[in-house]
Amino acid sequence: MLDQIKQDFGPRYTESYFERQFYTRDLAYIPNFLVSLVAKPLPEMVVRPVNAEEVSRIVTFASKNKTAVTPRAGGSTAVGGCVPANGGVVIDLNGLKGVVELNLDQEKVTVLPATTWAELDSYLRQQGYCVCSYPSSINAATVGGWLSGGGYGMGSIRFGPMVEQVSSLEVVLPSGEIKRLNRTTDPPLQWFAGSEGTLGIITQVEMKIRPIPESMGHYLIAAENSKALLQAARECVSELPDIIHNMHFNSKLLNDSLKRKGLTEEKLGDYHSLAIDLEEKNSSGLDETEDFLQKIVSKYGLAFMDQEIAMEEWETRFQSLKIMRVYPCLLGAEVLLPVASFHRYVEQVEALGRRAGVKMLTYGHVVSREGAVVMTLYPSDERQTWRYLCDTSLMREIYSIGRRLDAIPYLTGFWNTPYVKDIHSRKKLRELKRRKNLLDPGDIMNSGKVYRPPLLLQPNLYHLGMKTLGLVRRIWPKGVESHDRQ
Amino acid sequence: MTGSKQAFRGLAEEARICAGCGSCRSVCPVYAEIGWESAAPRGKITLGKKIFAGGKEDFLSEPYINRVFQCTLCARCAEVCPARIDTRELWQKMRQAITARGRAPAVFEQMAKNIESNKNISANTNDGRLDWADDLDDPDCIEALESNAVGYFVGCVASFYPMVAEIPLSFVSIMEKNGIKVTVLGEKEWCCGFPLLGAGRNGEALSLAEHNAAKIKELGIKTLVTTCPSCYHTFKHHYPKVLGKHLDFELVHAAQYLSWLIQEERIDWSEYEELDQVVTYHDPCDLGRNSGIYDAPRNILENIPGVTLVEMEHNRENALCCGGGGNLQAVDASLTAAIAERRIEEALNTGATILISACQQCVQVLTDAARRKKAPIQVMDINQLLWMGWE
Ligand SMILES: Cc1cc2nc3c(=O)[nH]c(=O)nc-3n(C[C@H](O)[C@H](O)[C@H](O)COP(=O)(O)OP(=O)(O)OC[C@H]3O[C@@H](n4cnc5c(N)ncnc54)[C@H](O)[C@@H]3O)c2cc1C
Repeated sequence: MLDQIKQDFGPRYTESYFERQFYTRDLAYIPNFLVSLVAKPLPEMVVRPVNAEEVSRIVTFASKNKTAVTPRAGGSTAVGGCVPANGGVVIDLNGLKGVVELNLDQEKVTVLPATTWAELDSYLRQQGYCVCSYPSSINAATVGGWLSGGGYGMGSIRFGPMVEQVSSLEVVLPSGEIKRLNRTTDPPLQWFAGSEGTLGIITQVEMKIRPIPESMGHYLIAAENSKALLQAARECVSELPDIIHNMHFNSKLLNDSLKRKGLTEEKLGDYHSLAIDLEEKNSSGLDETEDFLQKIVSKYGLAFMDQEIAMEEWETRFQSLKIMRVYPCLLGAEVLLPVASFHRYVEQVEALGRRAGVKMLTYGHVVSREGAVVMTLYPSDERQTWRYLCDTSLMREIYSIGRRLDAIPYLTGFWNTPYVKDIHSRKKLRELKRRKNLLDPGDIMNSGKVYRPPLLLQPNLYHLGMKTLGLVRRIWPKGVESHDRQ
Repeated sequence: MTGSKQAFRGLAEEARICAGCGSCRSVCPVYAEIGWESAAPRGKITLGKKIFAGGKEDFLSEPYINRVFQCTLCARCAEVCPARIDTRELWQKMRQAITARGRAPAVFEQMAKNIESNKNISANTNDGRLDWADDLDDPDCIEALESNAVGYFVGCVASFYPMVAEIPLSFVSIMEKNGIKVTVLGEKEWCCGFPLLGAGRNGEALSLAEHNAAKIKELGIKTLVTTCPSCYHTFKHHYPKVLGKHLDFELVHAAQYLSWLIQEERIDWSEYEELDQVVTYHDPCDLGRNSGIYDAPRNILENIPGVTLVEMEHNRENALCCGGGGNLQAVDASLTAAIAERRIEEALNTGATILISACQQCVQVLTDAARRKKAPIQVMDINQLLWMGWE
């Protein structure tokens, strides 16, 4: 059967070590010796199907041979979701790209899963339409990848998580069966949202689109005090949920670090900042909103930054990784956090940074009236392996702060499996496992992820290990140059 | 402005800055054809980090070297990089590092030999530089230098490859028609050095820069026009760096020069025959993305009587590459062909019947691709299109 697969896929099948090595990681850098203790990230083969039938063929093969299958699209996350935990076969989905059908009357598009958000949006804009929401990794992230993950990003305040825009899916189930799903089928499409590739492979997505908004307004509000700024954010999002396209917070420490390398406006370096990007049917609507923003700004003692700076923030909104120019090696943790706790989170994480002698750089998107997806990054140095490992202990401390404030890790993938019981309630986890057993009894589909940690990442062991690394870190000579420390 | 590309900090440091997010992957024309992660810019950097920042030389395998040279230097990756890495510079530095280790593809040896002995990339001696001009109505019109003459740097491809000889012919004819004196360097024109830079052989390109700069000065040229975007790019960005001074003359690409003539109303349209054509414009990477010239060619097209310009989905800074840049054709002609065919597809989708570029290399590879695909679209340079109305 493998021979048949090889023959069918021809040059789109590989066992070459040279090619396979590129599929052993995503954004997260974990030293090889450590990865090999807990996972087998090197796939035995990689295939690049170009349609659902081919996906089905390879999944059927894997199912019959009890081989692990790892779906991979943009490979733009850092939790190991698209990296094999148990070798097997990586299905590189990037051949399934493009628009299948555009229905302007119903404002819907059907798209192949590895189409990136930038590709889809560029296509739609030619017709006067655009996507409703998208991740800030717009050029890298795919439609299927974002739906399989958190699905929160720009546009989420108004349109909700991506799943709310989806009306039907085509999926290849772990049995190899190709199935069309909607909200009432068995299983319903909602099961696949956030399933991180563990239930099957999404091969088509039908979703809502919208006309390009007629006008946009960009504002940048700054404050020395994060509490006032984030309270203002909360008030804005509850008052204007239907017109806020994007609400993005940067901590003062982050702005200051960027400023030092000329990566943001000089003025911004002394403040926490909140970018608010609004969409309206017409510009007169924006005037009213501007009045509201003015009131908020004076109520909380904040200040508007110049329009030019606000525009610059908007135009560079996909460039969060420019911070890598300041610190080429960053560790970090991303949480889904109640907006109400956002300012306390920033304060506590920064206090942790002061204790640990490291800058905690925080940014985040408010994604609904209630929640924000927040990333905290801190500098380390991967060239000093042990120092780097010790620094990873701070990730656990960030998550602990988050947990106390009702935050959960944003994605699970492989590396956040020690937190699975924090991420889901008992009841929810039981339900998720039931779905998994129902659809994938052989546990081939992205096995080793999401539901339970591998032995060495069991919470007790993991927390003990991290605590030990944290202790070692305290007595370890400082690794990163002094200017990186507080 | 803080949104622009940042100063390049060296191969090892820039490779470390790359987080591997993959924004570059989906816009890379080479990745689009090959499909393996190893061909994506981030893949090349992932291994490059080990080799050039981590000193792990054993990763410098033949397949990896192959991947590094399978690149058109189109710089779409640089355009979208959220860490603002000047990836075009990064690829060049990688090529230099590989060449310094004596591991570059053998095909570049021959090219370097040609340039060393002939002072051009072809197998012909440099005294044939002006053979194309025999087809001018008055071949002598470019010989005599007058103090107010505009210098024209023809470039190797337009000088020696008959397939694109219409480009210099059209440019000079347009100038003559509108009473503008043009002069050329003839056999004193040497290769600008671009192909050597693309091959990672920067050292060998230096003497070419010195020679060309000296000859241009000797002739007293005040304005130098190129029809080749890569010559333009090399003069503009590389020469000042290696020569350690600003150029002694004003440098413009023909598209800029013609656009300026139109704006200044120095083009005489009185005898011009309306063209009645729908055209689309392909931005050459070295003119558009890598030099920031987008409006000038469009301005020309919008002013040519009877021409309607329709844009392709990917235009200006997002334009797809034709596949012919970065010496790719020399190392992997079939890859160039595949990339060019994709661009032809996009041009066909516009409904245009003529695909215009402002680059002899784009014209050459796109013409081949259109022929192979039997596509109902004609490919030509902007100078050719403009000249059509007077021909
Ligand atoms: C600069 C930057 C900004 C980011 N901003 C955001 C943001 O705003 N919001 C956000 O949510 N994330 C964000 N991310 C993280 C990431 O880019 C997104 O989550 C993205 O949607 C992942 O998509 P992908 O195509 O890269 O998926 P991959 O990384 O390839 O895969 C992610 C998971 O989905 C599975 N998968 C992928 N495709 C399929 C499919 N077709 N069928 C089944 N399973 C599949 C994989 O197995 C894996 O478990 C950001 C990352 C970066 C680097």
